Amino acid sequence: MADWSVRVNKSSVSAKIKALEANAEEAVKDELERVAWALVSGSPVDTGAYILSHTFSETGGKAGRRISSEGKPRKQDWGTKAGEAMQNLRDDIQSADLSKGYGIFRNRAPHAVDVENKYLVYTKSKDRFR
Amino acid sequence: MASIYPEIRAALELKLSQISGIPSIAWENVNFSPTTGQPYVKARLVPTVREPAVRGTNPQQYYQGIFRVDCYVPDDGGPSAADELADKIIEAFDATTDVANGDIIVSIRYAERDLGNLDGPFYMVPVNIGWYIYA
Repeated sequence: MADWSVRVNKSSVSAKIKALEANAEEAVKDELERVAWALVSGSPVDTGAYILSHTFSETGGKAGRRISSEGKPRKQDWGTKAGEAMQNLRDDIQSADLSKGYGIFRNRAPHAVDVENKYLVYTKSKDRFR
Repeated sequence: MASIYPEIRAALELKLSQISGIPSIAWENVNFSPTTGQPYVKARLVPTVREPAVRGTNPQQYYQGIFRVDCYVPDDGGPSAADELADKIIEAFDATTDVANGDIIVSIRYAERDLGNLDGPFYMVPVNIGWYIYA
């Protein structure tokens, strides 16, 4: 009976696994950007403090933007602030280390609870993506 | 096709109104003046999804959303009254419950409470009821 053997090219397999990991990470980041857009598109703008306080972080604790509306000009343009907020979140997501398997969207604006109770920004996004 | 939201709303609101021991209900866009010291609940229908359930022309639609019930109890009395009220609502709308009204059946995906917080002379605990229906 003939002996059979399988020769594995470790560097080739390793490269393929790395490519798969990169694809998976990209897919997760795409989905996170969809969640980010749901949060931004559902956010009201007056001074922009709330919408610009959205943060994505892979760490817990008190990490995150916390912008107060106090003393800021009102009736700001929604599109401008939404674009800025989305860019912030995109940067957060792209720089996040997702290998920890944990990430959180949060808003630490001082008036975030009042906004949430009125507009249900996070509640609606959670319902959409749960 | 006529909107199905009025029927969804009617089904969910009827179910809420039938809960035993429920206090006054502040309905959406109906004048309501809370009485300080008296508990009440505030109900809102929040649609989040309307999309075709299948491909092709004139597809059946999938609707999804939240029925939000804010439970208000007098402040400075501890959380138990709000907790009891929230539990009562969660129990009535527990996941997998079907809420029927006439020809339609709204299915419940989840019922959960959120963070309580102070709101004027009240302590408020939100209850989020996730629902869906194919129509």
